[in-house]
Amino acid sequence: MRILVALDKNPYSDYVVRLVAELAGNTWAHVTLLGVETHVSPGELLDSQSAKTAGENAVAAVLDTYREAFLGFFGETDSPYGRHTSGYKLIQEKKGVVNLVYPEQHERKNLTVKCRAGNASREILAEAEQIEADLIVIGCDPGTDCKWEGHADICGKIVKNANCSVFVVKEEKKPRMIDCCLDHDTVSQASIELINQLVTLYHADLEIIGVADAKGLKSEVDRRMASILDYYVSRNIKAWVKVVDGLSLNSIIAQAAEKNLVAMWMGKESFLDKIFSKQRLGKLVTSAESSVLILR
Amino acid sequence: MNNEQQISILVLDDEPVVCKRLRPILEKKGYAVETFFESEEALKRFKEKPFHIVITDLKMKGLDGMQFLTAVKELSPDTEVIVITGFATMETAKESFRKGVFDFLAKPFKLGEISDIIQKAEVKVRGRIS
Repeated sequence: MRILVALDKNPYSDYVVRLVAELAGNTWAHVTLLGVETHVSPGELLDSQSAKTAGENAVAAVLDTYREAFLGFFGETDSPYGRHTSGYKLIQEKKGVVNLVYPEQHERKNLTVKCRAGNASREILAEAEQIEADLIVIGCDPGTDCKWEGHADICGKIVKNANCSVFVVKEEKKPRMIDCCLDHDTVSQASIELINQLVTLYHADLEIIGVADAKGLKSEVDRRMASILDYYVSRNIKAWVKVVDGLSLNSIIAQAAEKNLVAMWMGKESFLDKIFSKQRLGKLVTSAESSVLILR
Repeated sequence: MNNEQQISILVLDDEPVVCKRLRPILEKKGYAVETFFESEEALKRFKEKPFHIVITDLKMKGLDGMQFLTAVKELSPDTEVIVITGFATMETAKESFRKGVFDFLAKPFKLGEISDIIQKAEVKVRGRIS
């Protein structure tokens, strides 16, 4: 599993790091911590991140503190990410992309720290493509516009355009249940597996919510829900199904999000894609009070 | 076994889709692949013929993946075992390494990721026999 963690200087990034550390503690995933410097040109990135010129406000320096926090989650002997070494060199991977390279750690799994220059959403998506991420995790303040520096609605843009699943983290909580909304029958194996890992992480129950349109729940969706339910029940996960009207989905999501984690399967054939036209989906994700997981 | 010898891989996962995805990719790379959905059957086959590399899920009905990998390592300590799991925990990861697995991979993963791991396991296997 490869997880891309998009980080900025806002406080929500602190608990994004903690959440990813917990998930990585279970999954031993390859993890990339990514920051984006939006105010410098790609050609100036390397110089701009130098501790001598930029000090502790440089994105690289901030990422270094996040790396410390991430590694702090693991014991010295148990960490799949190797010994807890400090002190990094800035190595340019290519124009506009700089890696923070640490002393040899003898790690089993990669913890990569890097900084990109440019438009935040574009660079995050480019990195996700490059590393073939299975999951992007990004923080956002609840119920407000995204506070990523210099850009509005970064999270919405990531959710709309990413090829992999995206976890928009808004608060630190342990959901007791994961509500998975489904309106089509094309559900990727990767998305089912990602839910498995989160159910394991949170010790959560699972509610599979079928979303009906004006004509009711499509028979193929009904069948798919049944097969997904069988899959989870046979693996001793407490799961059940329910069907809701698509028109009331917004209020259902708002209610569920108070205590649970809301996940939505958003495929190409998704009716949810129509309910939340690309623009509205971004808005829903950005303005939601609670974390949202978009499954692909 | 020598460096010209075809590397054999046993894949065990009770989710048919995993075996279905992996088998053609691995065969295309020149490995001799056998896939199993049930651990008892896989173990029976392994007793008949040890494999160079084993890829096994953890959570399965009957004999689970941890028991299976223990049996494999007892029967053939040189076999490199790669654990893949949809329900990963820190404990299962640590226990897997204590039992001598080559790598631990949580689902979901891209085929490129597991291919890289298998390639590294192959290097280790060939290094041992050369």
